[in-house]
Amino acid sequence: MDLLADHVFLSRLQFAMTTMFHITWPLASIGLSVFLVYLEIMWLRTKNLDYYRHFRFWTKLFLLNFAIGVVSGIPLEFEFGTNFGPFSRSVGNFFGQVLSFEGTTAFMLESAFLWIMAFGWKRVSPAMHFFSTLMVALGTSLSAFWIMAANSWMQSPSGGHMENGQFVVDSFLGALFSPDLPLGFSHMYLACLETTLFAVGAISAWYILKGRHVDFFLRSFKAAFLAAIVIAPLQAFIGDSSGIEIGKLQPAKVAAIESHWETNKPGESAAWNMIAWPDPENENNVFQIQIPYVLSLLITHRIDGIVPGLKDFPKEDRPPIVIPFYAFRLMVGIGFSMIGLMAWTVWTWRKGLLTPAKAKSQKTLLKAWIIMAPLAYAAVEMGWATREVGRQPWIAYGLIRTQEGASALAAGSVAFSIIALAIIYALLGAMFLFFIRRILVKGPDLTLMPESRGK
Amino acid sequence: MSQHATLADFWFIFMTVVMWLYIITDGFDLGAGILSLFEREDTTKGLMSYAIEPVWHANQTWLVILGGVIFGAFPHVYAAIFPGLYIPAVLLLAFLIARGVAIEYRPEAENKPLFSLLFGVGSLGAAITQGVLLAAVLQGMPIKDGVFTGGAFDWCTPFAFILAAALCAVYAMLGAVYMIMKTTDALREHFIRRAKICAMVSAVAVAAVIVWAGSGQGLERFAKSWFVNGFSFSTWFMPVALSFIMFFQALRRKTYSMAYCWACGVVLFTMAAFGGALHPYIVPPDLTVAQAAAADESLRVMLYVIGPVFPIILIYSIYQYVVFRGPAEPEGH
Repeated sequence: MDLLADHVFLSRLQFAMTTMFHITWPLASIGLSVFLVYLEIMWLRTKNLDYYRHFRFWTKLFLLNFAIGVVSGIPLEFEFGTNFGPFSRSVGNFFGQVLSFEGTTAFMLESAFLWIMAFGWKRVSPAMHFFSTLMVALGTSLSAFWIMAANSWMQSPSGGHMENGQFVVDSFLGALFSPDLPLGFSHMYLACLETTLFAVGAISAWYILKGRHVDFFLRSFKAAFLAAIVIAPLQAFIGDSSGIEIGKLQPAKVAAIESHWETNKPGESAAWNMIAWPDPENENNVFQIQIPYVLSLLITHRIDGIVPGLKDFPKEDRPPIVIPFYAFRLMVGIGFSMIGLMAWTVWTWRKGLLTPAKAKSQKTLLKAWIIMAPLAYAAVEMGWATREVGRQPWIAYGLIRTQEGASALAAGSVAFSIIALAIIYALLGAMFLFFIRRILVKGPDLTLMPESRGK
Repeated sequence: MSQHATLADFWFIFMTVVMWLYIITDGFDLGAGILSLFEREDTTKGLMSYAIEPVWHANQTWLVILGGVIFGAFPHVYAAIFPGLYIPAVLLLAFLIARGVAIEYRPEAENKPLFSLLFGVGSLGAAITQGVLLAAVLQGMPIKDGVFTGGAFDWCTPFAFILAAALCAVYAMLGAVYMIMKTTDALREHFIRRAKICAMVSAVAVAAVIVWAGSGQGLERFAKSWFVNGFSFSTWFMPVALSFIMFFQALRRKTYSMAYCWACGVVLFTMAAFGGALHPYIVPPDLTVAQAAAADESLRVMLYVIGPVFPIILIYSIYQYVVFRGPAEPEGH
């Protein structure tokens, strides 16, 4: 059990645990805040009470989700200092600034307007209320931008150089807009919207399946579906483009994701391992099921494009293989099943089966929607596992190794904090599910009337 | 003075201002939580939780901003002190989680006393650990080549607990004044009495912190800065004493928002005395403000971004308090 005495491994484990838990909540905070903007626009334009009641219903879920996001997120900011002190010092001329911008421009905005959005209906004018909803959405989206800027920089550090173990910034904008950012941010932002749409769709589908407020929830179901029908394929396209971009920025990561050992010779194509089990000792795969040509096509979009194999990289620069390989396949598999679900839903709708009278009997379709929500969350987790494990052994790709970036803590201290945080996070997750279940079982309040100022 | 030193000093002052904003805003949230432990009726505890519910998110965000400003402007502080303060830092986060969840999930909960307990203990624990962290920096942390070289329990000193007690008392004082503004009639009278008790305890505790800092072992820099002559001591601490007197005066005149302002004054002037004595060090005895700061270009970029945003934050933060002014009601629950 050497690993458990290794403080670097423990710090990584803790960071993985805390980020993987934390990211679950901002996904829906970002997505729902945008969905709430849509609902309020529809309410203001149509004056249809359903939209107002939808707004109030989803706000309740938003608040519980947001609270867990905030409390589970604060440890992350401080973990850079506690567990990755040397990294924080080395990149101190760029990294902390970005986090400080996230706090000042994004977090403050969302948290100050949050309560006006949720319970300020009778205290402010409708225009001010709408403005508050917009500011919450802007805040959550801006925080996604800053955090992805920081993470993309770790994936493809730019805008400066290392000097005496210290990152010296030559161009702050160059560092902020690192090569990975455009696709990295788009991929994650779409993932937030997509996951939320499947969560909204799943909750709505559950009510329809139960035959409760079918009319009411068909409205949110169809809205989620119509948005997802655009976003799910768009996400597949962005994902494909990211593959090509990562092929250029981090070829070792691509080789690990594909468990691809030998570089293909010019004029030949690289085959794609559909399933494989790597054997890093002997630098090959124990077994593999290959499809010819596909890897070259995927990574270069050319039939004989060169894809460097793992053997091209020194052993100490190779990332782990199993996690990126399988996490990536799960993510892609879920992504395509979402597109399949879209096609199935279009088919059902076109046959005229998504009416208030008939929707309830579409049991299989509705159940598929319900299952798709947790899968959507899983896809995001798998994507991040691929992205972060695939970046190893670097904490800032090509500049600083994870080993050098970790604080020299006593393994016992880190073990203490891992156990404490694991217990706390498990309780948070359980509590969230408990209360969400209760709210869902109780259902929306369809007697709510709009409150206006002074009442 | 070199440009680097000027920029670094600017961010040192700015960091102190953000810390002050955190203490005077989330301080009353934590203070309300601490005071709730002394209440018998669970409905009163609930009211205290509801009273801060609309604003605590934004208040706590000052701590996140403080973390961001330290990380951004003083990465060497960030990297060096947190590994050395690992245990209290993790505990602080755990207490803040408990407190936040207690406020946000209370309306939905059936077992309200459990959430009251979480609210109170989370708030008290957060206040104590914050005091311990602050004391650890003030009493100094040995740092060689950017790495903390002390032990995992160096923070555990008498000074740490005196400062923690004083911070709890000041938070409770702020919390009591906030609750006065959020209640009416008998409950208001109740919190007026609480505010007076808290202010007396705070005055004693703040005095104890000053005396200990001025005479305690390993804290000589404070004595050196304050007691070079009697004049300098009174320049630093007369305003603190005066703020306490004006606080009581404001309570007597029933101008509660003034009482809140004078409580903020107590914090401001005490922080100024300690900050002034700490400078040019940021983490004594090894790290000065200028050494700890990021490169000039980075400090300047921060200035360009946070400079214009900061007044806007202040405007909408105040707006938020204005929208939810007046006696607390369990909004929407």
